[in-house]
Amino acid sequence: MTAPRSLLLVEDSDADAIALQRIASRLPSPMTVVRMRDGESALDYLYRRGAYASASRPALVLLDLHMPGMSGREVLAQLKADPALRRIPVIIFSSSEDPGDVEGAYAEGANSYLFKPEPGAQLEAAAQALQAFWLTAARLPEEPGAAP
Amino acid sequence: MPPSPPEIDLSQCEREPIHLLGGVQPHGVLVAFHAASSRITVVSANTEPLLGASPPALLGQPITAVLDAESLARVRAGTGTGPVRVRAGGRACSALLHASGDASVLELEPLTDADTRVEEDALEAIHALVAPLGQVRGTSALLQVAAEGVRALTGFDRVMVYRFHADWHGEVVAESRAEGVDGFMGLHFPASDIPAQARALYRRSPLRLIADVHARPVGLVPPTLPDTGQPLDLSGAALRSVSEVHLEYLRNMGVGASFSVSLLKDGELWGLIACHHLSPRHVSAQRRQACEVLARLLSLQLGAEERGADAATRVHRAELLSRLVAGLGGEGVSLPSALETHGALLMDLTGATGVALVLGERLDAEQGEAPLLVGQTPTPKEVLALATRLASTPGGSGTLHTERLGALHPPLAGRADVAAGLLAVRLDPQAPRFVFWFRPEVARTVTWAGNPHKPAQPEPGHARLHPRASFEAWREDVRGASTPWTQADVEAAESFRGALVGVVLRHAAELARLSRALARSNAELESFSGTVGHDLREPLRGIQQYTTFFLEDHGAALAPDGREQLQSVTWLARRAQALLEDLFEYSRLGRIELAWREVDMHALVEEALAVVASRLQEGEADVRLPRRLPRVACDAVRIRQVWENLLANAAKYQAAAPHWVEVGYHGPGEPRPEAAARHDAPYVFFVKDPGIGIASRFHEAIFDMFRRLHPVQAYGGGTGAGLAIARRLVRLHGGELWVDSSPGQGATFYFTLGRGPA
Repeated sequence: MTAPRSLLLVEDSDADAIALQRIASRLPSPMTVVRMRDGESALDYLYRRGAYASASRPALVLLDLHMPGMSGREVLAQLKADPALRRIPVIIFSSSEDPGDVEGAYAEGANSYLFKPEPGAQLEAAAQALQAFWLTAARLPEEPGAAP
Repeated sequence: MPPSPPEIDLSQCEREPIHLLGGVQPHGVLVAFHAASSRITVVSANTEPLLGASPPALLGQPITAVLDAESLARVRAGTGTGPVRVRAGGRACSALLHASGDASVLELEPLTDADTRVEEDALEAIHALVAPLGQVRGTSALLQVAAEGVRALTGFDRVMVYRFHADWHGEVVAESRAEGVDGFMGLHFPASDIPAQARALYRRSPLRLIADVHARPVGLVPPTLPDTGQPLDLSGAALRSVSEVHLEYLRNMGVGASFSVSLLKDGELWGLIACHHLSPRHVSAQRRQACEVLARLLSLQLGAEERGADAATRVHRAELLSRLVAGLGGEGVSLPSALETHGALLMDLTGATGVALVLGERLDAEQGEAPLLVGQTPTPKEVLALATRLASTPGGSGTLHTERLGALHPPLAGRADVAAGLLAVRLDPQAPRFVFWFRPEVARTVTWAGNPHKPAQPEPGHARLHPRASFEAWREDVRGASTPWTQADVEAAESFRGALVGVVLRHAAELARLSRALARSNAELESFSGTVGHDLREPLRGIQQYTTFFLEDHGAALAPDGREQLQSVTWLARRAQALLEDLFEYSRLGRIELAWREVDMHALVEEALAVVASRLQEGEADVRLPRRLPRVACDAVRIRQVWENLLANAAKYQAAAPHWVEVGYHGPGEPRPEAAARHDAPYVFFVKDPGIGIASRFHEAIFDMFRRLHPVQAYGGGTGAGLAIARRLVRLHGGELWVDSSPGQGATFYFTLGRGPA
């Protein structure tokens, strides 16, 4: 039995981040949610740069598309261009329904695209579905270098 | 015997060697002698009555047998300046001498007493003819004075000034005539009346007298020169007899004598002073010479007048042009309306009777911009077809002009009434933009020498050749042809092109400036809607989240009214967010590209039904799909959005049970209710409900953005954007979306689709 793996949430909206963290904490098998406010910090975390030197690789990345500074799409492109990081599933979590955003995200290698539902019960249901599929049903790649 | 008219073939005139006819008129004698030996080589057959010696008696004799040495010396001295008075054969004669090859040709015409008197007053006669010229201005006044002077001097019944046009047909531009003589003023004569070699002769030798059209020509003895075997060249001879065809022509006109003087301008034949007398009439060589002096002065004056007139025309056209450019370049004036206002100037510029401006990017009848037409022109469709042809002609980027448009562009061959002549300038080598000037066929613009509708008057023995018969020949000649475009017309057209291109460029620059401004404001609008779409939505989401958290964490501690207030905050935030999202969506529709493909409309409706299923369940509405929908071309995503919207609406506005929504269509050829036939298309789709209905005064208003007919909370609380968005999507497809409804009677929303991507 391996330790519960973490989920990296890249989200500039405090309200959305707090809501997800609240939901995560109430899930049947709680998981650690690490939250970054922008794309640059997210990359620092994933590359274990600076303050994040000892960070562990997350099992999943939940990535907002529209963020100040580096956009979610740029973060995604960089992750998918890196052989060491490309295996981590990236789920786009966005309030944009623009077909161009959906198309673009998959083109860059996103593993799925979730529309941020309205706050409240729908958001909770989405979080549960996310956990049920990605953390329970799906088999995720092992963390490189981690002992089995 | 003269040929009878039916045998006269006018084209024969072109071939007749009129300078080698070998005869002279009987009112004088011709004596040719070898220039070196002075021996007589050829004489006219009539020497006996005039000189008292027969041709055989004269041939081989020295020329002094006819004219004494002293007289001959004076004649020689006078060569080139005109006739000299001599005595020959015992009578006063005027003598003319000119060279023809190796021969010297002496012509002697007996003088009458009246002639003698004029001869003495030759200078006075010339002065009398020329002096009035200085008193008048303008070509037509000048010619009129000349015609009157020539008639006074020669006593001919009718003196006309005949002017050649560019195609060599002639027009009578001045006339002086005795009482009771027919006038020809303003009439046009066919070019074939004066064939090319006759014109060449008129240019070389400016004077011609036919003293008696009925007189038989006098032959030469011998008929050919012994050393060459050729007939003597008589082109320089004043006594030269004329073509029998020409004599016949004159006789047919009822003319007894004719006299003409060439008018040359810059060495080219410009016209003729043509004199007719009803009976035979002789004009002495001196008087003829006076007329020639007049003609030479007139020619000089004409040159000056024409240059002046040209300059005046140019000034006039430059003025027209500047008025046009000022009119076209005005601020805030559209080019079409300016051109419409200044259409008359535009026609005057080239002397056209119609103008068409083709200014659009494309020429096809459906998409192309209609040409602007002024005056008498072909139809817009014909003009576009002409432009299409010219645009596809290699080298068609410049100026083109023709007097026979029917030959260049056969579809307009039948439109000579408005467009026999075309002057076309192309404004833009990259686009089919033209200015066309049109002229009708000349047959409609000139007066004929003769009435084509009046039957010929038969005369005993022969029909009249002129003017009827030759007029018909000419009429055939000019059918379908306009008056020719002059160099000045072409120059004016090209100047206009230059000016118009300037104006168009200015308009284009203005358009470019506007489009830059529009692009900038579009970009600003885009960043604004980006802000609306995301940055404003986030705080609203935040408000919803935090009120939810607050209710979860502290709700139990709140009084019921406090909880209600917080729930209202959530509801308001959600509503604000929905409005923003719809606004964002609506603004985005202006920029989207449709992805056209063939779509199974039935499947699309089923997808849409799945999306709105919860709404339909809420409203307990049955879906009726009586028959399968067809496959059509559209953007599936966008049209599904339209269906979703219409279905959700129908579910929303139900009245008393049973609740239902019907989806259907009217196909090609199927009978349609009146409301469905309002917009024409192969398929009209509809969504029908039995609900609350809409009063007709709101049938358009409901498509306005954020226009609502009901309180916000009623009927599910829409934002009022859905129908505006649906209509915009349908219109992006080239279709239309409309409603047929009345209160309490339910509503049917219809929509059509366009033909697909352009």
